[in-house]
Amino acid sequence: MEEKLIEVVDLKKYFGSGIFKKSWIKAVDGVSFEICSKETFALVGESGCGKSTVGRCTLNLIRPTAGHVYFKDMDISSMNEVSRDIRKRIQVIFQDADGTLNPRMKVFDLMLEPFRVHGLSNGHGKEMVNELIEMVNLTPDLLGRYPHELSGGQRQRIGIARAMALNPEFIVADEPAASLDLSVQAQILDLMRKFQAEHGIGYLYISHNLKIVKLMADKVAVMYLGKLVEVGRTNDVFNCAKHPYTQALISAIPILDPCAGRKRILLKGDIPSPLNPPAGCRFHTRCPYRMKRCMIEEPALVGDKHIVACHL
Amino acid sequence: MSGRIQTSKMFQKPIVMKPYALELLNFIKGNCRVMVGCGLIFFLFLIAVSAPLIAPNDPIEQHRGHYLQPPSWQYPFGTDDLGRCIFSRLVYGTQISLLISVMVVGVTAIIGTSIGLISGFAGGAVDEVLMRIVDILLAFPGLILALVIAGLLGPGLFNVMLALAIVGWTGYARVVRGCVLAEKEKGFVEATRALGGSKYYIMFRHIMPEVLAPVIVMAALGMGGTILSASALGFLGLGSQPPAPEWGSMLNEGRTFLQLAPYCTIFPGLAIMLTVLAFNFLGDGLRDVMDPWKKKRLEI
Amino acid sequence: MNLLHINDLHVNFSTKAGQVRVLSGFCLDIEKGSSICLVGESGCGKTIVALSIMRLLPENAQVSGEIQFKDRDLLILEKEEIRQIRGHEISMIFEQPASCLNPVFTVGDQIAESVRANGLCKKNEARDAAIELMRLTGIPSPKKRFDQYPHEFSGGMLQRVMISIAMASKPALLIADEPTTSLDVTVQAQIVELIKDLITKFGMSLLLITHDLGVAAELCRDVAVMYAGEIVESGCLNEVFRHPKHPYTKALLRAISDDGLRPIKGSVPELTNLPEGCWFHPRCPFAEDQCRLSKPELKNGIRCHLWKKN
Repeated sequence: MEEKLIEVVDLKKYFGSGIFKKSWIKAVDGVSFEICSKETFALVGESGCGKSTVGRCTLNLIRPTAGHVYFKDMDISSMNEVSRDIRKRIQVIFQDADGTLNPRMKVFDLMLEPFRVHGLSNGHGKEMVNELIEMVNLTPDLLGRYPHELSGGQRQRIGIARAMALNPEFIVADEPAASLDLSVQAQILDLMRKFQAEHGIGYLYISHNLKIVKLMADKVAVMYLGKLVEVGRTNDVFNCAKHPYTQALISAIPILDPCAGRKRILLKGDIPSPLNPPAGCRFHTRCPYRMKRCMIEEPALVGDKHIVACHL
Repeated sequence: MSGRIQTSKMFQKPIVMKPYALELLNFIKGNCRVMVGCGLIFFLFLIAVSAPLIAPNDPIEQHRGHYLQPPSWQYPFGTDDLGRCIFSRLVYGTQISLLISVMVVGVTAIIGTSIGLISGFAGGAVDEVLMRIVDILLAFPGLILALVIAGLLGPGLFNVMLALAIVGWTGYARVVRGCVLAEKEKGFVEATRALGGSKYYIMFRHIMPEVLAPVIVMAALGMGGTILSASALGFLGLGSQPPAPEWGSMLNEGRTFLQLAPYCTIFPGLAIMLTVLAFNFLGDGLRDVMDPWKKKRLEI
Repeated sequence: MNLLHINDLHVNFSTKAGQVRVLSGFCLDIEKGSSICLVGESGCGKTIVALSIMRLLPENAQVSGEIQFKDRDLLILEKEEIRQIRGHEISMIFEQPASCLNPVFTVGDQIAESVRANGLCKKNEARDAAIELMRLTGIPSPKKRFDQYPHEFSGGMLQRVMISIAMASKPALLIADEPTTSLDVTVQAQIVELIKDLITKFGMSLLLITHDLGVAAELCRDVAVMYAGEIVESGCLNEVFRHPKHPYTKALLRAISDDGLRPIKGSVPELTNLPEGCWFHPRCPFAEDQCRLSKPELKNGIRCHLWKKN
């Protein structure tokens, strides 16, 4: 097995809500996982389940309320400000490349920024940027443009280039393809794969699109209301999902062949508010198989390679 | 609903790049108010600089026997009760007015912006303390406070400037702090943080340029306001001391002879109005030019 | 009898950069009770088709061609007449339900208003009718939900509200513009089922606009694939998805499939700068000389010079 890159232990992030911050929104409530190098670890779940918060906490962009994140045995969650040296090695690709590129900066400056931040741009910034822009298959004539003059795919490529510029070892990819067209999505994902193969990067891939996750990930963790409900190798999770929520998610993927017969598990209702999660198993309000026990007792994550939190 | 159409996104054309300054210049060209404002201000500066060449008479020389004369070739705007040429006094007064406005606005904008930046960035107790000071200063009507300060310090040009500066920076601090707080939440700030950018890097590379736009607009509008306040203080006898040709004090001196010699007050009044108007035009126009939303709309 | 018959629809936008051709020679027939889907990438003109039908295009658009709806040409109708059709005989639902509802009125009021606007019932009956509609679209405890405001609803529920509003008049044609794009997978599945139920129950026709091929496959019988403002392939969805003939359709279907990623090279051409010949040829793996020279016509539901060969 490859060496362990990131280890997240019992991560918790609560946001205060209400006027006096008396009540807590438990966005992430006790999440643990490990990511090895060259591995793509996917975190799936519906919006509001806390998957992006996990991504941000992993990079210490926001400080977790409790728990630890270790990057190669260094505890980055306890650092006040992550040192530049480590920042260089862990990077992020955002979903919304439009918002994460400063609209007043030209593409050239945006691409140079990673080097400039780390004081590496002296002298040969231009060559570095040219190399970088070729790496993500863009043409140098874009360098003089502003982000709003580019297409979504081009912007996302710049986002990726900025993340790749410093040869990181670990990247959090927060829905990198969600806002893009199908053919462009494929291009972006292909690019990410290429870099993984070349540089042995470990990805934390955050997405709600199970179809892409199935293609990209080695391991999948399914999140529901701030907790992991199922973790396992992609094949295991997709082929024999054990948690009813995972089963429902997989059955909800729209498939192209209209004739393929299948039974769809339709979940009732919406995700409950994380401000006031249901007692017992958090999924019991929507679960088709719920038992009495589910309403009272919270199931623990059990299993060895393929872990599930369910009483069934 | 029209948001769905996204015309701008769909028809992106390859745009030939221009430097930012040139782009700005083009927008200014298209904006008539900015043009008028700029023209007038340029004209005023020209007058201030070349005052000795333009003024037909010495502004403080008292011409015996020529008291309160109506406009003539020798005295284009007439003379005041001490026989001084009003036109020459107005021309030299431009220097004082512009000096006050540039100095006061420059100082207040720099102080206000710095305090706003610190307050917005540091947050917490520092923010609380600074903002409460701002609240206290804002609780007094600005001009009255300036009056009190100028009164305590004693009359004089420098003291007036000081008084106006003490009162004036609060607005900038407020606006800048709000701007910083809004910018801090933006995606690209987080992205830069993820890249490893330090606080200072983010502050100067990403947040400062965003903050500068409203500050410039405020400064342009503030110029007019400062001239008005300085004139008001001058009118109340707190500004530059006689015989300095300050527009506000000229108004005050001419007041007694309003019916006898209206030109003693009309021309200084007009000068103040014109200058304030010019700066307001500039400020209003700049606001349109610098507003990114409006800019986008212009582009479509 | 066709319910909607679009023939040779051209839409141009006049912008600062000059004329931009957004739709060129677009033809489409929708039969009564059928469901058809427009698929394509962003900027290919899918939404413009919907807006043309509703006559909601922005002012700088020039439209030519004909859109026959129940033997009336929607393009030459007076404003008053088109209002009679809009929201009565043709309804539309949008991608972002939250931005289409007024945040200061209760959800129920907004549904009731659409009921009343149709003149179907009196004021005092509108509430009951609205609650009935909410029940129809599967909003739980509609009586309680009637008096709530849009911000108290989740995205999926808001889309149900939008569907209620669209259903108020029992329209003959429902236009759904990316109805599930902003929703989560499980909620998306719910909405897809709901729309499917409603169109069979009321015999409505459906014009679905989406870039999600999966949703298209779930909902529609026919499909038209669009590229750069024109249809490149159309036909029975089953047939098109199983045996795509046009290289673009093929590539689109295979781009992200179970057996891997096969990205299409290049990007959609800019509408101001379309290539000579077939508009897809720069990205087409099979392009030949004639593709570069002449533009293919839409024949037998496919716009390609080479389809017989492949």
